[in-house]
Amino acid sequence: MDDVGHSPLEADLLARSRDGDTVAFDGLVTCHRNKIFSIIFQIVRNEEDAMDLTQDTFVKAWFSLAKFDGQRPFGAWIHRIATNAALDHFRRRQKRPQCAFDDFPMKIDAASKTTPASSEVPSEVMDRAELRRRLDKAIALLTPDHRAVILLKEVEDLSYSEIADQLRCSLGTVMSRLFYARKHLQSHLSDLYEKN
Amino acid sequence: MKKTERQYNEWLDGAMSPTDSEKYERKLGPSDHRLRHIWPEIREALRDHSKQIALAHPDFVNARVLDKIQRPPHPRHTSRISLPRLAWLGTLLLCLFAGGAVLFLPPNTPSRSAADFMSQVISARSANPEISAYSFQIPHGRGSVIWLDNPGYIPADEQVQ
Repeated sequence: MDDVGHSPLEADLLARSRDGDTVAFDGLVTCHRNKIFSIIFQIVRNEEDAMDLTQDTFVKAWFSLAKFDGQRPFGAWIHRIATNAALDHFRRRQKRPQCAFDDFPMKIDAASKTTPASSEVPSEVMDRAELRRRLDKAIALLTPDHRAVILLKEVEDLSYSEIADQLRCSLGTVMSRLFYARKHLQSHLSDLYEKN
Repeated sequence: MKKTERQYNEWLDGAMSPTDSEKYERKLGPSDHRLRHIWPEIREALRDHSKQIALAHPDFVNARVLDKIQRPPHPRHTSRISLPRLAWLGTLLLCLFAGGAVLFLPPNTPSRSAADFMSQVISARSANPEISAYSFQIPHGRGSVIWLDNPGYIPADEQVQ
């Protein structure tokens, strides 16, 4: 591992890629392609778009390698490109999910002590597969911006300031999006854990 | 940043001090307590879910990326006439005009007064009233002109004074 956490293989591939070696860059693509696709897919939730954006992310990274300072992990740098590519894609297309999450704060008071009642039948036991299914459904209802924040926090385990840096927004915006995304999950999954 | 949002996030992430956390929890309802209890499981499910997403044809990504980065850049099919081009063309034409003016136009001569160009009438008298006679002196002694109007002929004895 080097100072910024690159494995020897990755550091070598990175150094050669920065010298213009496309074969070395192909190796970097292989190392990161699944992770990048996963991040993008979870934000755009469309396989075809996610595939295109994954390719665009790597192409953009290749042409921006000169700007990569090498003081940060390559993974974090390319994740940032991927997240922003996915969010920019949404902004360009101005596509919204059927139930826009922007309406959500009106349904839940920030200081509420209870979650909204769910019309679904409560489960007796918390089933992991069921949880995943419901989680997927609940996440699909979030806006891409809210989705990105909750994924960067819970899946990528980034700090609040790292998320703000990655999404190029303020810490307050991160806190706000995270809060409402969590409240949204709370309301949609409440019946799964209320009885536990 | 709203205090409610910051406090809630910090509490759920366990980033709050035990004293503050205890104080904050008193404000929350049982549902929030249960959520905090279950949150690690939700987080785990989110991570599991993320791991399950995989590329159907991973090598296809490599092939497309390599194709795009190895392809020589396309010549840009933009219009030949663009604003910057027009600006450069204008500047170039101005320079050419200025250069041509310097090369082909005669250099400036020192300005001369009207007296250098205007002939001076030195006499306008004629013995015959039907004849007007003028004699001009060209400046700097470059010659004299005698101008006669109306005579059909000049009599032999005509004298211009």
